[in-house]
Amino acid sequence: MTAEAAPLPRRIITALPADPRKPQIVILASLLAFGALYRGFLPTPWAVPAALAGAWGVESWVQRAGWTPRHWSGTISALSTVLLFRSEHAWVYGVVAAAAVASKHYFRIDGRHFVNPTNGAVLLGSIVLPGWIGSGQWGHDLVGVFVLAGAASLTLVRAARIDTALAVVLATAAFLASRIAFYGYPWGTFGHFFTDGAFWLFALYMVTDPKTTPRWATGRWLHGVLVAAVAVALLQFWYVRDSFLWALLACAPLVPALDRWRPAAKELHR
Amino acid sequence: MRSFVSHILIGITCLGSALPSNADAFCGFFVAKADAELFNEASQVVMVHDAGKTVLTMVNDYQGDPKNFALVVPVPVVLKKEVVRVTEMGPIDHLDAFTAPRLAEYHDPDPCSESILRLGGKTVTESAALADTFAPAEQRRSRVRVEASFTVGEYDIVILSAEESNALESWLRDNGYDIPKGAASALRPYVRTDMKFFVARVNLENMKKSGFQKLRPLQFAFKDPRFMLPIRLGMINANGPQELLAYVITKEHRAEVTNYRNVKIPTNENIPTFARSEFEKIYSAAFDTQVERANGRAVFTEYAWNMAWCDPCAANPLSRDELESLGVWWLDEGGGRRGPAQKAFVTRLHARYDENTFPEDLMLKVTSDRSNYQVRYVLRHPHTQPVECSAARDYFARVIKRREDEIRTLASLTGWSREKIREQMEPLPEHFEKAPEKGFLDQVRDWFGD
Repeated sequence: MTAEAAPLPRRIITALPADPRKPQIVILASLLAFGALYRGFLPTPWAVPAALAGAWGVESWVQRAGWTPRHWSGTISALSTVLLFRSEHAWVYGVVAAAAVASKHYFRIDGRHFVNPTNGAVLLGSIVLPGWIGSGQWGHDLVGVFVLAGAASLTLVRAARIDTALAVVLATAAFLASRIAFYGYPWGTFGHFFTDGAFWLFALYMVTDPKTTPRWATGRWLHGVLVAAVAVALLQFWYVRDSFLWALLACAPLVPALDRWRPAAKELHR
Repeated sequence: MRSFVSHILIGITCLGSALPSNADAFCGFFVAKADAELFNEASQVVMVHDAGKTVLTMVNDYQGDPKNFALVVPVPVVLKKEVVRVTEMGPIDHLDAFTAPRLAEYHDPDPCSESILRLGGKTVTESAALADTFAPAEQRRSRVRVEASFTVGEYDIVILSAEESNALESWLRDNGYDIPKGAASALRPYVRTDMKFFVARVNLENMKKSGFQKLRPLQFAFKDPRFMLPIRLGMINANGPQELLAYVITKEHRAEVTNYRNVKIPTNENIPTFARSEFEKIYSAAFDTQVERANGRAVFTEYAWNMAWCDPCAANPLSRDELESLGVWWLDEGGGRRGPAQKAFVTRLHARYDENTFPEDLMLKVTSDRSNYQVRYVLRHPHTQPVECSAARDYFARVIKRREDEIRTLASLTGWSREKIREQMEPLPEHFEKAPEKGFLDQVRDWFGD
């Protein structure tokens, strides 16, 4: 079979850069641009430069080098920080992004970081720094969801973590449906939840980080279901805002535990 | 069943919404304002909140016969008599006026006056700122429990807890409340999450004794992590979309909703000067446009301001007494403050909602945002006296361009056509249009930037 005869999807996939971080950066930057233009995401125009400076600064310090391929990961942390976090002060974005990158290097078990860097950093930042998490900022715009989901799937195919996203989405759907059935909330709340751009950003980007999910497929399903269960419980019983972010943090120790359970499992993505 | 109770107003945001005669119970003091009066049937709620503690004040704009009034509000805990009171409308009206979208007026100075030429025309004149008694004990359904029952001012109040929403509906019906159809299913989520029900009706005798013609706002306090506004119950007996103005008073940061999009209304725009007399219409259209652009699924921030400092204040800030009457309990902390500045941050949230666009109650949180924000539009009155100097020509051209910008801005804000706006604008004096062409030396000066 000649190269010309290869099916279209395969051709698209092979045409993508080998490093999945680059398309991810493009998608995150596009989301940020959309958010800045249509959703008022940037309380200060210096948020992006400050976050990049914080992330790259720590990366360069750790690597003792001006630029390494790891700086691409730092870029993702910086952009994710700006997507999730809000502050009036640019320096806060810098500190949060720096903390995210630092946690990757210094917060490790079995040679692998286990706390999703941006997740941990924005939650910490929302407690100790003058900033907060922009919870309802994406709105409930269906079109936006499809754009997000479509764009994310490209990255996910490369990152081979679509099972985690599926686990989170399906488990959340099941838990929310049970919650509605039991408590008698209107079914409109189901659609309301699943049209929230912030949830899709979480399910498709954050929780699917290949470095902070278990190495084996069943482990990832378990992890995804547990994150969803904890999140819905935090929301329902403890009235916690941003419960999915807290749930992911709470379940972080589970990742090295699951990997130790199946030590033979190999890293899927590097 | 007592037959006199012909209406029930259920939920905190439907006060009066079942009745046609209830609008128009507000006042304000702005020259040009867009306060609660503008939005008929707007419910007003003041929430004072800090660290899991809340004082809630509900404005009662009910205008019908007091004996027909009833109110059911889900509350997180059983409220004791000591933390329930009636309060006065004055501070809430002041809060409304203080936080309402406003106009600021500037008068262009004489373009030929030298000092003005240097300043670029920044002379400022800001003009804007500025019965039967309730029979509670009888428990007709074992699954409904009367947790407390007391009289406060002109209200008889019972706090109910229920194990089952149908039982609660029956209990209310048996006690003379004309419950709208579908109430049980709307009550169910609150019953199942162990919320209690604050039920109030008017004690006619006390009302007569007090001499008050209108029902006063009800206020109560509770300690609970649930920082939310239960708007869903109010939808049962609503005809069409409802309007809510929630004033959230916190210690030092802005509040926002977490389960809907927060949108700030466009502000600080120059709009045509006829807005001075048409501001209510303009802001009403601007708000409609914003709601439409957000597909009805957003909560709008109209004001966020730290009352601890404002020098000068855009409007006369609330006094210590007024804040205390709204339930702000922390003003004594740290010895309190002298003067008008108080430790309080007020956020004004405005929502228009119906059953489809707002399927969940409003969940709130306090951000770390201390920045001040207000909805304010600027009117710039041109200097219309005939003047002659080289700067005048530039000035005329600037004014003509500025008017076009104002038309565009207003069209975008309100969704009105530019022609309609242009028709309403006062024409410029003739000398604006007939300004002579610039001479050679004027062009040279422009070129040199002199």
